[in-house]
Amino acid sequence: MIPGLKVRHRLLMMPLLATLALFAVFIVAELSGARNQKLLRSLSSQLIPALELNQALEATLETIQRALQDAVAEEDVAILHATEASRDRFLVLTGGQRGVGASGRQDLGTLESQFVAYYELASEMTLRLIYGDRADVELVTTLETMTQSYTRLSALLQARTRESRLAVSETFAATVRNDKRARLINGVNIFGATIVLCVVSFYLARSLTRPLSDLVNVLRQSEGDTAARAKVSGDDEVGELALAFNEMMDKIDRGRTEIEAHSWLMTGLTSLVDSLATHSDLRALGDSIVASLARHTGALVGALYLADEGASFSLAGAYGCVDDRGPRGEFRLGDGLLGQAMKDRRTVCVAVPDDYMQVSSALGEAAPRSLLLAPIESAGLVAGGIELGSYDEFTDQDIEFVELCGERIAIAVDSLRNKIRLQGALDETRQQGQELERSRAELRTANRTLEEKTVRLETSNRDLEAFAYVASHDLQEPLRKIEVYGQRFEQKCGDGLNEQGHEYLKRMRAASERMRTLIGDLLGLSRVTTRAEPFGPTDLGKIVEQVLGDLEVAIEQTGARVEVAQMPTIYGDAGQLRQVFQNLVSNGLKFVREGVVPRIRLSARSATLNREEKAGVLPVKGFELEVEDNGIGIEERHFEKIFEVFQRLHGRNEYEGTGIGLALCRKIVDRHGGEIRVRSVAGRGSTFSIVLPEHAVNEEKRHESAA
Amino acid sequence: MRGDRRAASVIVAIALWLSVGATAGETAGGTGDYSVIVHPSNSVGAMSRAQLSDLFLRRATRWGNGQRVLPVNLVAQSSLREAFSQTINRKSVAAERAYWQRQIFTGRGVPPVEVASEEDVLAYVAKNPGAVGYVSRGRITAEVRELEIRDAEPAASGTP
Repeated sequence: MIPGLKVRHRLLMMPLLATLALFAVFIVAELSGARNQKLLRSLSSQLIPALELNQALEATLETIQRALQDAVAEEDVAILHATEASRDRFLVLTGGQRGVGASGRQDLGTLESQFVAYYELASEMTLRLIYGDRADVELVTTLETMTQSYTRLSALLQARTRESRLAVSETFAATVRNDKRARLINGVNIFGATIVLCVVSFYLARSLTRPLSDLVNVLRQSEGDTAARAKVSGDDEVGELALAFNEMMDKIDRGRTEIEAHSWLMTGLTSLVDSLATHSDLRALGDSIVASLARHTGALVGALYLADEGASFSLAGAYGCVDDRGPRGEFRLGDGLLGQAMKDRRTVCVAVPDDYMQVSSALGEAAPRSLLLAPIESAGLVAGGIELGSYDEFTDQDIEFVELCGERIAIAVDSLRNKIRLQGALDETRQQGQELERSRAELRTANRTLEEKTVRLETSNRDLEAFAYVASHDLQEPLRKIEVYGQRFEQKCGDGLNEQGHEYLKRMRAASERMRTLIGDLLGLSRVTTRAEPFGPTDLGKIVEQVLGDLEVAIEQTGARVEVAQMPTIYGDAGQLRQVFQNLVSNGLKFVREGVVPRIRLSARSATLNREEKAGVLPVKGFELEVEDNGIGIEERHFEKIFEVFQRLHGRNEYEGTGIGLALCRKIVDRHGGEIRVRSVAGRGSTFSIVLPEHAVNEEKRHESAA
Repeated sequence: MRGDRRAASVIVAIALWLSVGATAGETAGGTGDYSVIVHPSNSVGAMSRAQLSDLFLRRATRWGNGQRVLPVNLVAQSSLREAFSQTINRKSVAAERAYWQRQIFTGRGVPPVEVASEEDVLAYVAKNPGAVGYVSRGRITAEVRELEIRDAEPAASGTP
């Protein structure tokens, strides 16, 4: 309904129509009212007076007629005379109305003359009747004339009255008709207006609800289909709503298309990245890249070129190409379309000329219609190019996708090349590693052998020690018996022996003496470990003092000069440390040079030594103790040998001793975690240097805690 | 108009009735003291009292042949007039007079002509073909014809 009209205007039509209808009703009522007024005015000013006049005339005539009857009946002339008042009244009535109109005046004039004629005749006849005149033929004829005159007059008056009445009733009926007609017109008007309003409202409602329900239906039926569009029924508000709805749907559609395009790109990129991941061969990677791009863009053929060393590009991957008429193997920047595209660093999309390269299938061959040529850039350089051929036109999306892929392809190619290079280096390294591993294994084997040997050695050492201890302990008993019985033999039987016998005996006793010393030394050596005392604070000065006290006799005999410097207090086994100093000082007193006054100097100074711990080698505070003599000295080649058990450099006759002393020293120093060394120049003297930690850790305890 | 129509219907009725009565020949003879007479050319032979009264009170104005009815009365002072009015019209002469006054002034009609003597009656009837009158019994002449009245009552008995 009136499609161009806005809904608010349409809504305004309703009161407008209603107002129009009301106005029409008002006009009709006014018109008919005015007409009725006119009719009623004429009724009251003309018709009703005329009617009243006629009725009055009729009544007056009747009065006269009755009075004449009465006069005849009463035979009274006075009554007849009295009728003259009525006659005058009649004449006044007819004369008084002379101004009504020409025809009316004429009518009244005729009436008056007729009345006057009748009245004269009637009064004459009345007189004659009163006087009792015989009703002869003449009288009867005159009477007849009179009655006819009366009848005419009466009929005339009656007709006038009837006419007046008719006029009044007609006017009244006209008024009523008029009123009825006005009411009918107004009724029709109101009825029509109501119907029109109903129709208008119905159409209005429909024009509103139909597009809206259409819109709702479209919305309901669309079920997420963004292609659904509402019908735009007009440019009113509902139409605008439909337009707005369509715009919204357009936006959603565009948004969805964008999302789909994006998702398409992402899917392509994902599949490309997937295809990039697994290859270790450049050609396989290239093939895979081209295949992935072609599959995603719907291309039928494709080729990938990558930069070589130098300015040329070589085929690195192909898809759907026939070998003998396949893509060019190599070209330079600027050669051909792809070369140009790569030079310009711009993606190009071209329609293909005829007799171009063929796409081949088992059924036949055909040339592609559209080509897509895209450069691959990496770090601002052209790293290669892609060419794709299809029967369909390439879309902007395809181009965007291929451009998007370019960078990733470049990265993948670079990384694969790096990977290949790296792989070479890696292989080399691996080889070296393997060699290293091999030598390490050998080392491990050697180490193990060494450890086993050490263990064996330690075991045999321990066995030996045990054996030595047991042997020396057990050997003491028969030795003592030999000595005792040797002594008794000399005492009891010595007199009977000759000089040779005594000599033998003496040698025997000397041998046993030596054996005792030997056994004692051996026991001492084994006791270093078996009879060890726990460590405690030990004043070395005091120990040296005691040692010098013990050796007082020897010092006096040799006339040796002993110099003792300030000695520190350390943590250690006092008894064993005493043994060390005893051995070293007694050695100094023993190995003296002929004619040289022996001189022994004991000194001490702070030193740092390395101690092996679980966590590694630690520097530990300690002291270096030196025992220096001016004796015979030791040749350098014997520096180590002297610390071994039973190693004697000299014959028994030259210097007495068992060859155990220094071995014992080394063992004790070892137990304290220190070192013992010798510096010497043969014939000039020796210096024994002992480095001991300030807080020696008991070797046994260390083992225990380690265990 | 209305009066004419009524008159016409009365005429038709009389004509019908008269033809029946004529053939039957039921009653004959005069009506007491007077005889009703008509012009000899009048074809009507007999009628009832009411019919006759209608003629004299001018309720019926034409004969069956269309001729005007011209009733003729004796003057009021006549005794025969008195008897006739009593028997036929069933009114006194004074009542007739009042009747006629009303008729005259209301324009409905005029009374019959009055004549002074029976001779005048006979002359009037003889002269006018549509006339109808009455005379004393026995005074009928050849110039008139008597009209038979079938159910007329004797004047004496009818008079109070």
